[in-house]
Amino acid sequence: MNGKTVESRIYETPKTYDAVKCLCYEAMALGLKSVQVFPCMISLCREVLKDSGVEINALINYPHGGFLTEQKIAEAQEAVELGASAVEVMNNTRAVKRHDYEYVYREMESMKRSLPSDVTVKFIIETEYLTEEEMKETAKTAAKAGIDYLSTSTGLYHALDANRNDVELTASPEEVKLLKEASEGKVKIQAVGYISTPEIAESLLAAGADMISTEYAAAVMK
Amino acid sequence: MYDKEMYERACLSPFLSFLPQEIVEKEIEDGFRHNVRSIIVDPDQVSLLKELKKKYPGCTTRLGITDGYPFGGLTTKSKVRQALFAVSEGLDEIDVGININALMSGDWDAVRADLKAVIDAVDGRLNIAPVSWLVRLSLANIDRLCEMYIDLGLTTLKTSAGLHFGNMKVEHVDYVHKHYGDKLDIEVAGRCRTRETAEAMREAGASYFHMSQWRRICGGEQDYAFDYAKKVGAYSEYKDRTT
Repeated sequence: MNGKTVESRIYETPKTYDAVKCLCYEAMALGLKSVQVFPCMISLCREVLKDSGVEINALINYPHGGFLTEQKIAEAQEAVELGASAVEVMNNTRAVKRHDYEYVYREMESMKRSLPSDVTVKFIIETEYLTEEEMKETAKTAAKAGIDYLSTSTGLYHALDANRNDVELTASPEEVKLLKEASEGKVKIQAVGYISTPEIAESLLAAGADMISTEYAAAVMK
Repeated sequence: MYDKEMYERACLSPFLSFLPQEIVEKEIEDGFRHNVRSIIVDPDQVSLLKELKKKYPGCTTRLGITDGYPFGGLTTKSKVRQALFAVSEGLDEIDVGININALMSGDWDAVRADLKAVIDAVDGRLNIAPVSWLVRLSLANIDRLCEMYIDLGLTTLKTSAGLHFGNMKVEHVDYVHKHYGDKLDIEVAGRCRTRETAEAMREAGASYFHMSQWRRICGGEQDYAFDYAKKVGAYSEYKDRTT
């Protein structure tokens, strides 16, 4: 597995500073592209990563996406000032569910326009909540808005099976392929969601994913 | 079953990503109709919330937004900006995610400075409910956190982030109420899923219940959930995990 297609992801904040540092050390040791963290962790990551080449990807308005657009932009700009070279913004999924793609377009477009051109802009679209049609329309909207990546999921949620046990919502090759095709290859795809083995990661990359973002980076890199 | 008192202790949050507009509006309107304690929304829903409240002139439901919910992972500057937005909109309260990353690291100065900046910015113009992650903390840290809240002049403690981050127990409520109940109202959040648990928590000293299952617990109706097969949010029979 090429480390430059893998990002190590922290998906919640009740972690110690040492855990955040370990995320960074691990990314450096494995030669990963980036670490994905919350804005309050950027300064610490910057201290540890220094000029290692591992980038910092900041979560914006995670995990619900209901800030006003200007509030998301302000948060993203601050993250960039602190040292993030990428921002991963929660899309307004409620706008997608009411099929208001004009709102989604305006938000994506103004986010991209408001940040320096070398900052990578990703939007998390929560495929687990979207129909195929909603995924396609969101991908087309992202291509039109000129953002860099669609990130499939927050990686936070579970469904329940018939026996009421948790089922992890894993990113699927089918949805990666669907997003890639609908965006006509103009937007890169980042797969997120319980990607815990090299086999799962490879199947997503084979389907067209450009990045794997996972809390199991070490396992994926085995 | 209809429990007026329990309705008036309920706090609603119809901002989950999957909710269709008609459910968001129904949740808000029914909340006003039952005069629930508060309705907490995302910033992009504030105008809708205020507009719908005009239809219920006698309603005392408090209006608020989240600020760094649930993870508290925003920078202090962003939390202050969101708090000032709430003030500018004339809202009654904010649910602030504390810097739990600093707390887990024992960096209490950072936890305090982050929260104090928000408290200073709002300057008493609205109520602050700090999201406290009690399900992840030792009793020693719960003590220290409660003492910090009281020292900072806060009067409400929201017990947990809810979602799936851990089940609040009656014992948590009992402990906080016994030691700090004269200074802090306890707003329960964190998978309080049954009428029996809610009643036991109320008995133990809980003041309010922040819960997506408010209909079922207050009045025996169905609550909303997401159907992953149909890809829609809808009112439906409640299903919980086995543990």
